[in-house]
Amino acid sequence: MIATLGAGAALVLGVRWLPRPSGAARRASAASHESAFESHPLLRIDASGATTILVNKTEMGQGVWTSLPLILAEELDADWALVTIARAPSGPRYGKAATGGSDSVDSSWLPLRRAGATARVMLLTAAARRWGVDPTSCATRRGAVIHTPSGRRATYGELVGDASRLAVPDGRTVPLKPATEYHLLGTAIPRRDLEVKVHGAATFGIDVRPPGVLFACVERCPYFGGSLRSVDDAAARRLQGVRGTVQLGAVTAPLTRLPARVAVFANSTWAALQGRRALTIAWDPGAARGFSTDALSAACRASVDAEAQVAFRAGHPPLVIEPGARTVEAVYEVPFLAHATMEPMNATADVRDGRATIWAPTQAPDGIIDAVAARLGIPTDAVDVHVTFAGGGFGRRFYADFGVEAAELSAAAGAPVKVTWTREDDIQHDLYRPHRVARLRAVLDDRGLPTSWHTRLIGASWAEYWDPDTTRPWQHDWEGAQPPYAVRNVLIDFVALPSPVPIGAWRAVNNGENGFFMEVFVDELAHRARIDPIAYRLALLGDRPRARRVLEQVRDVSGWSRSAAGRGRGVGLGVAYYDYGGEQGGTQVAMVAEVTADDANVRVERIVCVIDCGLPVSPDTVRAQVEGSVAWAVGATLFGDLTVTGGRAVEGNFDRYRVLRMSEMPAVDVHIMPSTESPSGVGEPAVPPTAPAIVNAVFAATGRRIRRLPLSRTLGPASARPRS
Amino acid sequence: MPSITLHINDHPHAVDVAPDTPLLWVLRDTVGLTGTKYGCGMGLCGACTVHLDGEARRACQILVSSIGSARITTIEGLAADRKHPVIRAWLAEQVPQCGYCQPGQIMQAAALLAGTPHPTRQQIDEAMNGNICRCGTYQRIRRAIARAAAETA
Ligand code: FES
Ligand code: FES
Repeated sequence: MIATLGAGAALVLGVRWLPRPSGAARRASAASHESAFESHPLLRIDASGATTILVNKTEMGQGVWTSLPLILAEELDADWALVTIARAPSGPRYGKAATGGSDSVDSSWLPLRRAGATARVMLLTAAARRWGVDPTSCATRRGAVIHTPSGRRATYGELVGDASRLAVPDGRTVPLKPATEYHLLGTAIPRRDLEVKVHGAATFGIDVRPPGVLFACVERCPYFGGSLRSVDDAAARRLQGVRGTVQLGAVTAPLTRLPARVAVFANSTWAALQGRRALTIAWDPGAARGFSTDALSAACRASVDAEAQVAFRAGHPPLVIEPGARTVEAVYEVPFLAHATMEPMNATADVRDGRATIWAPTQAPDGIIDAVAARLGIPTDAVDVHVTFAGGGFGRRFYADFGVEAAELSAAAGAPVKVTWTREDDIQHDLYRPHRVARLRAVLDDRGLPTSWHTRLIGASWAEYWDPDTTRPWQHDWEGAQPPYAVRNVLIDFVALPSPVPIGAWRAVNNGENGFFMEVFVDELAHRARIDPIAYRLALLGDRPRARRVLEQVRDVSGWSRSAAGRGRGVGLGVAYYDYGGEQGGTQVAMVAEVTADDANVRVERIVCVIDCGLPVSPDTVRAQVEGSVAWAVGATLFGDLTVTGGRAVEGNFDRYRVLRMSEMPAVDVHIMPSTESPSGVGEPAVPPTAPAIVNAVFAATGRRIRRLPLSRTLGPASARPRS
Repeated sequence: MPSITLHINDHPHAVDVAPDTPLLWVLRDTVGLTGTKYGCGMGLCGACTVHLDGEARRACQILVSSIGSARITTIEGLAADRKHPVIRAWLAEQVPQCGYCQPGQIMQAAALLAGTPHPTRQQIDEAMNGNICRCGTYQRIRRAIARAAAETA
């Protein structure tokens, strides 16, 4: 039985972890060998021709397991049937592992193409030398080099020895294929991770089980910022299968906030859960006792005229836009949102001999390495992270808390430990999309188009939570708040209010709420000007051809003009546009939502989405990501609402924290703009326009302008029910 | 502890577990069949769906002591038949994203089709409404069920 560690356990554990100084750096790289060709850390071709491509990003549903290897394989002219895909180990040698911001394809595009093209050139050169022919008379096709005049052919596998002896050329100098020669990219290639997933054979973090592992469940202080007063674990320790308990203090480490906790170790997850239930704990709520989301909402609304920090300024915006005949003003509000990834947070750790091995479904293994090293007081190169498949990420798994906690518990237990969070742990100890209030104001010209624009954001700042020493609002606070529209004078400012609720990156990060504020406001301006909302946006997007094209396309394919006549009688169409990353090189999204609505109910019937993401590397994956983004955001728009009373989260499971279900899923129709430009992200860009498109459609259907999410809050509890 | 014999995927398994242990944790921690997933522990999400004598049930809500001689089928058992029409339809429609909910979705869909070979859209939505997918694969699930139904015509 493991002894219960006393109060201040965090420090006690610190002592137990003192690492032995270890001067031995890990060996830098694998030895090169004749039987395989490894011109790049992510590529290996064996003499048999078997080609292994490693993926250095987390597969969490977005399809990188296929799309990234596809990019390399295309330039390599690989035989896709001979390609095997595996997860790259952690470490800088394999490139940036952090997975987020919809940038995996985008940021890997050039490096992976160069890796493939470099290998191809080396294999082609090896063949030409072997045959004593001019390399320019040789070509590559499906895993082989061909001497075009003679038809002589050598497979890549036959060339690995010769190619390995060549110097690796500078990837920046090798020629890359023109898009017209692609035969893999842009085609319908089945995803490579789906077979194991439909057979129940994929290993997620929650499935990891090293030998001798103890199962842990953790009771976490339910009060944000609270602390542990006392714990009685006698009953827990008497239970069959329970092996011990430990107290853990609150932790602040890179990308990590953990509350005060009491953990139970056991022989099985169920025994750990039972042991946890048998704990008697007194928590001290601390300063958060009086905190509630209702109070925060009121405080935000009372602070719209408080002193604000300037976040962004363009032109000569008046710092205060006075209310007047040509001024339009609206105040919006969005709630805290939990991620509720389908696989709850979990991690497994084995800490011993001054080293830590972590298995985790993480978006940021490097973040876990840094945070675990900081927490245990060991060097970063003494921490290994094995990244598993992740059952959804959506930004939640960018944080290191679950990995750090597993390491703490393994160190305390002196054994490998697997920590499984319950759904309640997962929802109530999340890093939420921030609650925000926003006041938007615009001054209009004679035609009703804005000449000055002021967005004032009010709420808890990322800076306060993650970087209390800074005096400026973080980019995250106002990202996506800058209108892409041609408005002469723009001011974005921020009133920061204190809140004890952890905030973090949620799918599309703060583009989500800032896109909502902006695109509903633009719709209000269009209606006031009596201009069709699509025509109104087009009038403000004069010099942005990609933006214009997605809007024109969505108008044409959604039946926008045709159904204009039927609007206002319970059926409505609403539009939203979102610029994710810029007219140059970013993703452009235009969306039309169709709803049926009355005073108490809303049903989202149909979403038409047009997306320009540059070259669609894997078009079906682009479609899947848009469908998923829409489902994600429709659920949040209808009923996503994490509330706090008495300093603790109210909702804990899917009964009260409602997410979208099958019967509420609209038909989603995705149109991908043809393009051969560099690809840009698709995992998030369709999230921000979804809520405003729905809210604008509700206005079209009912004449009612909703400015606060979720709709279930505004329309009452009967809303958003499936039609019976 | 008395040993309980379970009939899982056509094999008997003797397990020594507390009688109040939910089948979900017996499958995952004791038998080592991890295809059945934990998502909520309250019968709210469907990630743990298995078949008990062919019927779709939430393994997190079934006490191991209550199973008796009922036959248990998990995703591993269903998938042993690589040609299972639901699994083939799931691949043809490229349904999964993260995949975490999918064993439960597939088990639910297979039970639906066993009882209702040609479900209407409304029957599909009703039968699948208890299975949450946070990746939002619902539209493809609808299509895959329709495809599997058509193929077994
Ligand atoms: S885990 Fe059983 S229904 Fe959610
Ligand atoms: S595929 Fe990810 S939760 Fe369904």
